[in-house]
Amino acid sequence: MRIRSNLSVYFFRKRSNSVRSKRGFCALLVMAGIIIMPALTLMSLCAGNPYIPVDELLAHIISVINKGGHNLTNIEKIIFMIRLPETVAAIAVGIGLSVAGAVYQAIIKNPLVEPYIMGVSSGAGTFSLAAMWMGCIFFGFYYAYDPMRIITSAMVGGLLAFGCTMLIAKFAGGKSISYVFAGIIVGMLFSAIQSILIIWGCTQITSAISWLYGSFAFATWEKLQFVLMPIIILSAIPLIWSRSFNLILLGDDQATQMGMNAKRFSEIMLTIASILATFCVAFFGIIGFVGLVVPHISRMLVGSDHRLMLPVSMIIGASFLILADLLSRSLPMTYQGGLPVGMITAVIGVPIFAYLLIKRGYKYDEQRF
Amino acid sequence: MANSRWLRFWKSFLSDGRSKKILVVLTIALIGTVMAFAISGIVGKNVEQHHSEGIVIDYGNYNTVWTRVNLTEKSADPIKLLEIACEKNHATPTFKNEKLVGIKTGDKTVSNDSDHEWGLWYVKKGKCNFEKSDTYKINVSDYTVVSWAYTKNGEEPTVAVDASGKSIYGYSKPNDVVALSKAGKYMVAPMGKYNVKEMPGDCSPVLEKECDIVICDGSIPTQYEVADNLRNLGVDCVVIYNSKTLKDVVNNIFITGTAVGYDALDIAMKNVNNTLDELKKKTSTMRGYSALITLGPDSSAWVAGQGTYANEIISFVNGYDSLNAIKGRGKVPTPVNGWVKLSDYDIHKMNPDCIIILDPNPLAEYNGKYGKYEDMKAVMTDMWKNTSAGQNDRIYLFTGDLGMKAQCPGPGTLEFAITLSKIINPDAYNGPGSVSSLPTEIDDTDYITEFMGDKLIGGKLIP
Repeated sequence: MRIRSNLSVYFFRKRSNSVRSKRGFCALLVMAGIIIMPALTLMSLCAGNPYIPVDELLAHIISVINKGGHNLTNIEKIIFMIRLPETVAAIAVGIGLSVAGAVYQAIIKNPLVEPYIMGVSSGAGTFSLAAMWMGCIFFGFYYAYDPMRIITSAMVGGLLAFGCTMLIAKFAGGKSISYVFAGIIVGMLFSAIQSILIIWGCTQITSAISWLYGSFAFATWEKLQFVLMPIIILSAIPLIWSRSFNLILLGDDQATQMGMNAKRFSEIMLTIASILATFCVAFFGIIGFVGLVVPHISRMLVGSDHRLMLPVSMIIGASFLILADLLSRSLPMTYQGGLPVGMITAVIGVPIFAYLLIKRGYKYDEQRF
Repeated sequence: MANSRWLRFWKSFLSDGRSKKILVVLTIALIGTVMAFAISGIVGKNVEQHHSEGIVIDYGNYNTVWTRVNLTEKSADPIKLLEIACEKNHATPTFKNEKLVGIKTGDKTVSNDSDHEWGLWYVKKGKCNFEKSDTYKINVSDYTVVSWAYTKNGEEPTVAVDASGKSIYGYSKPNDVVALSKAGKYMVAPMGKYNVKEMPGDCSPVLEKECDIVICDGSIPTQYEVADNLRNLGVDCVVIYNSKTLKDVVNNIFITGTAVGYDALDIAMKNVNNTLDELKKKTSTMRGYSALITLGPDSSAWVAGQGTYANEIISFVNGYDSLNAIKGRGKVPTPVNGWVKLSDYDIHKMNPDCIIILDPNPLAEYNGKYGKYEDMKAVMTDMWKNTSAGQNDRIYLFTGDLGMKAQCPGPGTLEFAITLSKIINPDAYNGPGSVSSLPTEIDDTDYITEFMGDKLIGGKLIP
């Protein structure tokens, strides 16, 4: 009896130490992120054509502050009007997609789920291609080649696809697997329509590819002024409900037993994550890999407690996309602009993920998903 | 054990109604903020499109006069602007029953007749096409461009906005020009002593070059956004149209020439129109060969279908479009639009009298042993070789400079058209430069001077 009691004390202490060390590790990661992200941002502002050395960059930053943002030279415009919005967009989308991915994986309880599982990307892609091909101007609301008409079409398409998925899933019983299947079939339908549009409008293929793989090359302050806050705010909502996510991981039945309306919570959070993914896709195209892999990397590092995992996901997602954007700008360009970020994320993400899987994958398997 | 701790914690947390309510209220507030941002983003969208202040007098056939006038509330009246423009250009407008019926410049008067009439036309902001105004009482500043135009019944005035709906008038004369595509470079390069640089479609390198104007390519959709961004950064841009027809090519020459302030643009446009007229005259009575234009000699090749200027030129010089032979067969959609990929079986079925192969890399250094044409023939399948074109040695390779001109619409397109005309209508051309003297591998041409002779004003198409 005494031995048993001693053992339980030992395990309780060990567990407490483990939680404390995990929190410490998480704090360390957040601190590292706080240092790494500004460093990456600085690198991102320097990189590209033309390359701006760090000392010159700092001199330009001081010069712009002194000028109060007026009468900028061309290099200062490159830094503040082109590269800074790109980097800010990369941070916002990195945060948004990572959070959306984490939410989907937690609610649907499937490690292979990504933010586009609900058909959002296919719907957005189909509608934006249709707008490109047919020159849709929303009854004269936008002018002929206004990029906002593509963005609005993509948002409409993304939300429509999401609506279809939710409807089918609801009629199919509203279980986690219903959402996955409904998302897959809706996504397949929109992908097929998308392919038909690409074949019909073959002269626009290169532009479609550029959009389908995502790019920050056309990020401007004008776009950011109404995409940045929604992404940050929508990413913050799962953060404030992170305890409920932990509860959901125990299973819907147990969560319901504890007075939580698990079904409603799941529906609301799926809606929020889908709107979040739609915002990211509509403005900057489909950037894959981040929403799937970053939550897993975070879980490998800090475990599945969403209070720790979500902030770490945000930091890793943002840093990852800054790096991808930096690389896409540094590689040779085409008439379409820089290489799409979506391609770079897979190229640099796969080795990182493979390394972590080999190093920490055996632990990950034991952890509660 | 872990589960029971979680259960205890959550029971206590959720039983505390206050903390749950706070979370719910906070969530609703955040969602409300997001909706406010989204709505403000869509409703607050500013569709304002930059326009140049002034008025166009369009005498037809690309003969236009642009007069810059600072628009005030009073001077935004089109009749007042016409009077100002006429005064500046030593012209006199004539009105009858409050309608413009003629404009006299020197001893020449352009006045209404049974086919042509003067009218007030405008391009709405964000649009690319002209609309005719029923009244002269409009506010010029409400439109991108307003033009007093002398037009043939049923035709529109001379193009006045670029592919992005921006006025092509009012740019200052540039020294350094950047083209964001090969087509843009081939369009502007013959037009004078500008420093023309070809660059990728990205804002940063363009901005660094500190150029005076950027020629963007409307056939690359991302370049509309590049143009928008560059304009916001204070760089002048003009977006040329996607050249689907010969008319688009001619319009693009005019747009580019106007935007870069090319001095001899009126002569160049006369030469372009005269060359096309001459080409039409020369071939109109001929029964041309059937022809096919392909990109490379692959067994499954890209072929210029309808809606491409290359295909239109075949019909323009009175050739027969080989694609008609397989239209509506079920395998190939009707009509065959854009560049379409066809198998060698399809090409064999079409049995064209002549095949024009455009070298996909016309300026690339040739490292082969037997010559480009021989290499090309070596990879050609029997299906190709057994066509009428293959049997009669009428498969031509357009490479080098001509290959570029054929693929990059611009003034060089006319040389492509003349060469094509010679191949399709061999009987129309005698003596030097006739089809018998044409090599099967053609890489450089200067046929326009020879073709037009004395009719070419200034001795060159673009003097």
